[in-house]
Amino acid sequence: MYLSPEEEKMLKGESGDLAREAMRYLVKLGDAFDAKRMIDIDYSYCFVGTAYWGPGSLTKGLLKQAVNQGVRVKVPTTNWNYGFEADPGTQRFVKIPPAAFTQLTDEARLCRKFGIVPVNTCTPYLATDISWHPLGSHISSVESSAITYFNSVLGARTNRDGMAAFFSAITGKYPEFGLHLDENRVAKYLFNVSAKLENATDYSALGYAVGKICGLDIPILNGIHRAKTGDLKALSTALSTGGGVPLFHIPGITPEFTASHRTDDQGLEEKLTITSEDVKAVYEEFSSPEDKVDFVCLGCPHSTVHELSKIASLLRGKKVNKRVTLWIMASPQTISLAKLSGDLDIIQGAGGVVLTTCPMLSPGKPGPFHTFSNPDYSMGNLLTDSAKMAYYSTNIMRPSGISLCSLEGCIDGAIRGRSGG
Amino acid sequence: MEQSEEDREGEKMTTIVLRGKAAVVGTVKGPALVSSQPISFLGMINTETGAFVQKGHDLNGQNISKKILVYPYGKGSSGDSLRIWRCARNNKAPLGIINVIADPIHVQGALLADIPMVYKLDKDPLKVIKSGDTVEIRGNEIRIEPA
Repeated sequence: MYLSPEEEKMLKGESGDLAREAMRYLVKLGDAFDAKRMIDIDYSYCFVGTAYWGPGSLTKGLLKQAVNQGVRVKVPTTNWNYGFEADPGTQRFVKIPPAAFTQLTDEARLCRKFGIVPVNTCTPYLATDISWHPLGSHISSVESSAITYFNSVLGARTNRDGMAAFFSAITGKYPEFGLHLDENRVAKYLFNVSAKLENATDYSALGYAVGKICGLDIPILNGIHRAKTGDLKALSTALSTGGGVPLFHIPGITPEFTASHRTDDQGLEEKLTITSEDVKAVYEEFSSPEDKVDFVCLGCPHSTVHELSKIASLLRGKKVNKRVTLWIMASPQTISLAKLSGDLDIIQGAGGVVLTTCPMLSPGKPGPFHTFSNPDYSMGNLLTDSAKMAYYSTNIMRPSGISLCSLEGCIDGAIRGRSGG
Repeated sequence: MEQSEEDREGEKMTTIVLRGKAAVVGTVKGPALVSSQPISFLGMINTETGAFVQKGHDLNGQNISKKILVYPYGKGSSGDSLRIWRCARNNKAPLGIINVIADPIHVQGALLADIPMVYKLDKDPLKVIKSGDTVEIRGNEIRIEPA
């Protein structure tokens, strides 16, 4: 791979040990995909302090090195959820072991010194800008749902990244391969969507079904004419759950769908139709035989402020059933807006719990720590509006049953303690 | 694909050699564990034990630890890059990874954990390799000794 004098310098360690380690990693990653050179990135969205599954943290070690060596991020950088509640008011709802809390608090402190803007969310695109206008920007992003949203809805360019995003933040560089190149952003599949999409959960079901078919490939979704931000968030998320679809195009909606993409036979290997039956099949896959509701989980990924408003309007004058736990996840920024609008008071007053955590990945879980390896724990019957939550919760939160339904249906279930009509 | 006859302590064995692209360069040899379905470590694999726990998946009930794990591609969560590292830290990682196509997330995890990984082989590894075969990864090449 060609390296510029500046990149060579980093690789030789002339810009410090951590920059050398980061550049070595990025060169190896580039070699894995036959990248010809490095490119400058505009933004990084990376993991730090997110994955406490036991002692020893890779990111804490790296952050310590960075802070000790006086290294700061080279590009605007945001973080994923820290995975814990800094707010004492909500801490009582999530059981975080002291060791995890200490480690994550340490990492949060190190992040500030490292120069990360602490958005603490899986939806950074709702919380802040990426500094540059996103269309055509080269970025490095974690979070499968955000990757697909950045690429598809905003037209930024990122591969499905993991730890490379952290090393890109240190160097400002990324190997040029995959979705950073025009030729790899072209669709392979064309789906004519005849299914009626009435709410974000329908988009979630659509994404899950299409993701299973596409795997890592790019689809065009034809026949969608108007969509809310929350719908596109749900679609992005489920495409990366059913499969690993990093980019989709919707004629008239996504910015990269241009004359270069055609919806006739040109270059498309597969032409398929997604009907209401296909969407219904996803609801049936996540359909608990019991109608009793124990746990309702919304905000996977984190809710938009308008989704919180909708939840508040549905809960106004009502109470969450005493037997039911209602969790709603959102970013700290979104929550502070909901506080200003009064929606937060309504939700909390009705008995809903609003959190910035992720019940699946952070140590902040409804049940014992390491819920994953606690075979005795079950959260009971789960109701959610997200196919991602429904899919991954099976082995992590061990619900006795899972039902996927609309946000309205979820809130109705939380109030009545029963799902369905 | 090339078939070569090798003499091993007087016993004739047929070794199948496939060539592809090393995502993580290295040499490693062990028993294959083959899945026809994509894998997400999140939710499917317990990183503390290496146990595969996804009902309905063809690897359900198996353990990935110390295996040459063969599957079409990684899917799902970007945290898998850390989960693969976490498996390695717990000494429960696969010895090597063979994919049909490479998801950058799984490559980034294998790079962190230094697990040899190969993809884009000249024959479909899911058809050529059977679980229990002994497979050696050597850089861009894999050598399969059928069980």
